[in-house]
Amino acid sequence: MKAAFPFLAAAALLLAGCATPAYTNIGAEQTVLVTDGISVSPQIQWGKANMTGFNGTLWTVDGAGLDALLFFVGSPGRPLIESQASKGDTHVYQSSMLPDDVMELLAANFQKIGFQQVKTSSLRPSAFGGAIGFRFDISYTTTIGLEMKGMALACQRNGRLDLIVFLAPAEYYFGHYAPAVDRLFASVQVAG
Amino acid sequence: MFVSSAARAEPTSNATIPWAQLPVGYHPATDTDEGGIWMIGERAEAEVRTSPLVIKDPALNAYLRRIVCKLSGPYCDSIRIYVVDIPYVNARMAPNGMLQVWTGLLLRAQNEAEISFVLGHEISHYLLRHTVAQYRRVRDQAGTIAVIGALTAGIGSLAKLGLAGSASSFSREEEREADQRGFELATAAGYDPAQCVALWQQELAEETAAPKDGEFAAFAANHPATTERVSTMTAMANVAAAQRANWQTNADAFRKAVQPFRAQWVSENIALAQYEQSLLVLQLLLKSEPKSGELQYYLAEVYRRRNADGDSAKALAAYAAAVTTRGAPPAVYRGLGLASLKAGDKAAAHTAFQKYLAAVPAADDRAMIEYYLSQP
Repeated sequence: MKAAFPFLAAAALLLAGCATPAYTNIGAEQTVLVTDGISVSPQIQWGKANMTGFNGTLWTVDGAGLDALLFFVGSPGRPLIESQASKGDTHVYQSSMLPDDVMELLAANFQKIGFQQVKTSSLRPSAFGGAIGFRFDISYTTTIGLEMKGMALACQRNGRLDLIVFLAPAEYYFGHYAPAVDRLFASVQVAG
Repeated sequence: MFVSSAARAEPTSNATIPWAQLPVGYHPATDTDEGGIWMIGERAEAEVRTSPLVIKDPALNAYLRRIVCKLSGPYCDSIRIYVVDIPYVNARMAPNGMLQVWTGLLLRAQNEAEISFVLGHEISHYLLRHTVAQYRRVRDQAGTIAVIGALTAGIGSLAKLGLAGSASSFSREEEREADQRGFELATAAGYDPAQCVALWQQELAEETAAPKDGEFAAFAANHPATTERVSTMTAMANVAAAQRANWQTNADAFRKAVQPFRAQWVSENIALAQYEQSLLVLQLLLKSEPKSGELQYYLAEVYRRRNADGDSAKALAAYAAAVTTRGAPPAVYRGLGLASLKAGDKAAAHTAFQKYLAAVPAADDRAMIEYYLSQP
């Protein structure tokens, strides 16, 4: 297997423009309030990266170089992924977007940070807590040629977008954690 | 002067290249600094060879290899060409004869002659050993690690391109010399000199319409100012044009070689979300294929995704044009459905979505489309 180049750490750092983050332990059994009003049951033990200058939340099991669970909240008129690297980005979230648009917006953001051959597929409706959201799959090749897979769960309500994305190398890591992430997606609870 | 390739013979291989600075079959001794630079290049090439970003298609590779061989003549066996599926405009040559061409460049080329001038330029850097001088400069300035980075930049970390671009640029003089010698290689093989600036003019138009991210405009950044290049090469082309009559463009052969990949490359270009630049690329392609349903579909996709003022109507018009033109993919109905939905025309959206599902019953987004259809 290729050397474990920290592809996502690099991406996250590109996004955040900050130094290597410290991690806080997230236990498997608790229910965790991740973002405003959104809770999940982690299913497995994660580490939460403490980063500044980045509007998302990043959890990882083996390190951001090997797998990453990203939580984003999109607000109308703001870039989906906000960071130093996205300053001046004109590709912003709009509440009028359809699920197809949200999927394309995420793909465009991935292209922007240097991922190649970004492909999205299997857009489908999916429960998001008690609301109707949508899921899709994503694949891409990192800048060093590592083939990656991902899965995303999203929901648009009251002008706000909640987006959870899991990314890992297609070889071993994605398949290893996908069942737990599936259960985590199914555990989403929306307050209010 | 434009001469149809159909009426002419194939371009011919250059028999000799007297100005080349390295003997045919050259490989530096391993105990020299040049041998060390080659060895790093060979390691980088081993990575490139197995990269999933490299297009392995035998027909496309054989076609491009034939062009390389026509241009490089006796040096053909010393140069290996790799088509790298990255949607930016770039071509680069390593000291050991590894030549990368990115698909963003192939997408924009309209014929074989246009590509031959770019390849001729890169081959000239190799034959003049500019590549070795370049990497010596990088090593002296920044060390061996930077040499590795510069060699792998482009297929390795794109983020390194900014560094590689500044640290490993050829000098302006080397660039001018490669322009001149590359022009000679291409015209000596019979390629139409009038095509030598087409790709640069496109680059200039795109840069003017929408400046690209600095780190990704690698090829342009490493080369003399585009306007200066266009002017100088146009003057060379005017002088050369009168020297013979049967110049070649080989537009049909080029189109045939890239056609199987074009939809993918256009799609990858649009995915960059640099919509002003994508519109210029599509306008270029539509010039030679104004009745292409496929290109009309992608034009509609750009307008739908850009979603600026007035784009909704433009997208709907382009989708409408695409569905009535041969060659549009079934996804045109999905796009038309989405654009109609956003424009508030649910009836038109439902009709389009139903046509999409009828055309692609096993569509991987069928459940989503059925959800849209279920909404009142």
